[in-house]
Amino acid sequence: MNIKGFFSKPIYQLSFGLIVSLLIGLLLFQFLPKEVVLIIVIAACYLSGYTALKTHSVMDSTDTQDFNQDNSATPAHPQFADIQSVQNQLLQSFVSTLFECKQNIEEANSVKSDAISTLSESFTQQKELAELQQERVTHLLAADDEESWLACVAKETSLTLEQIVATTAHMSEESMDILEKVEKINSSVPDVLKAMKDIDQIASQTNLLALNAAIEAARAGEAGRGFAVVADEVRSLSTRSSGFSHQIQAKLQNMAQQIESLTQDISQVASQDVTYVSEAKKNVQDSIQKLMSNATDNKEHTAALEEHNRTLQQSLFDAMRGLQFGDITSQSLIYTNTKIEKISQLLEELMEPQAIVNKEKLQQLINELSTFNEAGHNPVSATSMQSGDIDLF
Amino acid sequence: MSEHILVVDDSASIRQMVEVTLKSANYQVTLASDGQEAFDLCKSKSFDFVLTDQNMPRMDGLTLIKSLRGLATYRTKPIVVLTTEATDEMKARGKAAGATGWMIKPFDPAKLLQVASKVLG
Repeated sequence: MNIKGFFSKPIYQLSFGLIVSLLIGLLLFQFLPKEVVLIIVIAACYLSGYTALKTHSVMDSTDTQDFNQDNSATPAHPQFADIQSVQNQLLQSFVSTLFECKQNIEEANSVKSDAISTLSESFTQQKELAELQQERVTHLLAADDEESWLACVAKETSLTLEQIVATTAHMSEESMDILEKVEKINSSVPDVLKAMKDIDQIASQTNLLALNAAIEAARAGEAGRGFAVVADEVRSLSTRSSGFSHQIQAKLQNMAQQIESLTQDISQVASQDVTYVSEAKKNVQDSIQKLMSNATDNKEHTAALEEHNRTLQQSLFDAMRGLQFGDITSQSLIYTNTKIEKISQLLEELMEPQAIVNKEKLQQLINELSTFNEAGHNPVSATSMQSGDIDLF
Repeated sequence: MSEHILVVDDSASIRQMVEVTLKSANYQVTLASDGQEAFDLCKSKSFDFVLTDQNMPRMDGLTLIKSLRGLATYRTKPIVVLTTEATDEMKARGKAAGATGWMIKPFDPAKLLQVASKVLG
C-alpha cells in the first residue's frame, strides 16, 4: 500500500490526523499557554475527524471504490483533491490560529510595556519622595538631640530658680533676725522712759529741796545769803534738768513710735509666705519636664518615622525588583514569537501541494524544526521574581 | 567627584531602575540602549564601571566586553553583565570575554549597590 492508498482509508487518515495534532500540541505546549494549545489540538482533532468522515462519505458515494488498487490516482482526482482541500483548510486554520496567537502576544507585550513604563515612573517618584522625607526626619532628629537648646534652657532655668529660691529664703531669715533685734530695742524704750521719769522725779525733789534751802537761807539772814545763791543755782539746775528730761522723753516717745512702725513693717515683710516661690519653682520644673517628655515623644515618633522610611525604601526596592518582569517576559515572549513564526513558516511549507503526503518533505520539515530548536534557546531561565545569583570572577 | 557608571540595556525600564538605584548612592550614571551606542560612548569617555545587558540589538554584551577590552582605557576597568542568561555556559563565555562579574535578572537594588561598591572599591 503506497502513501496515497494509506490516506485513502478513513481510519488511517483519522489516526494520522490525531497523531499529528497531538505532536503539534506537544510542540506548542512549550511556548503557548495550555488553554491555547488545548483549543488548537481540539480544532485539529475535529478537522481530522471531519476529513476522515468526508473521505468515508466520498468512498460510500462511489460505492466502495478502492484507492489502494488504483495506483494511478493523481492529485487531480476529484476525491483526492477534495481531501487535499480539507487538509489545506486544516493547515490554514493552524496558520491563522498561530497568527492570532502572535498578534495576541504582541498586543499583550505592548500593553505590558506601557504598564511597566507607567509603574516605573510612579515608583521612581515615590522613591524620591521617600528620600525627601528621610532628609526632613534627619533634621528633626538633629533638632531633638539630648544636647538640644531645650535641654540647655531647662537646665539654665532650673539653676536660676534655685538661686531665686535660695535668695528669697535668705532674705526671709535676715528679716526675721532684724525684726528680733528691733523688737529688743523697742522693748528697752519703756525702761529708758522710766529712767527718764526717775530723773525728772529727782529733779523735782532737788527743786523742792533747793526751795527749802532758799527758805532756810532767808531765815538765816545775812549769814545765809551765800547759801541762798547756791540754793537758787540748784533750783535753776533742777529746773533745766527737768526740762531736758522732758525733751529727752518727748524724743524717746517719738523714737518709740518710729520703732513701733518699723517693727510692724519688718514684721510684715518677715511674715510673708515664701513657699509660693518654691511652688512656682516646682510648677516651672514640671512644665519643663513635660516639654522634655514631649521632646522625647517627638524623638520616638521621628525614630519610628525613620524606621517606616527604611521599610518603604525596602518595599520600593522589592517593587523595583518585581517590575523587572517586564524585561524578563519581553525576552521570553520575543523568543516564543520566533518559535511561532518558525512553526508558521513550516506549516505554510506543509500546505504546498503533495507536501503533507510527501515523506521526504515531512522529514525535511522535521529536521529543519529540530535544527532551529537546537540553534536557539530561551534567554530567560528565571521562574520567579527572586533576585538572581551574582558571580564576581 | 563620584564614580561614573555606564549602564547598557535595551530595556528602558531596566535602564531607569538601575539609574535610580545607582543615583541613590550618589554615583554618576550615563545610559546606553545597546552595545554599539555604549562602545561609541566609551571611545570618547572614560567610565569607572560598565554594567551591561547581554542580549541587545546591534551589539550584544559579550561583543561589547571584547571590544572594550581592546581599548587601553578599559583593559582593567570593571565590566559586569546584568542579564537573564543564567546558564554556566554563558557565564563561562562571559568570563572568557573579560567580564568582571555576572548578575542574573531580576536584580535586587541593594545587592546591585553592593556589587558596584565592591568592584569600584
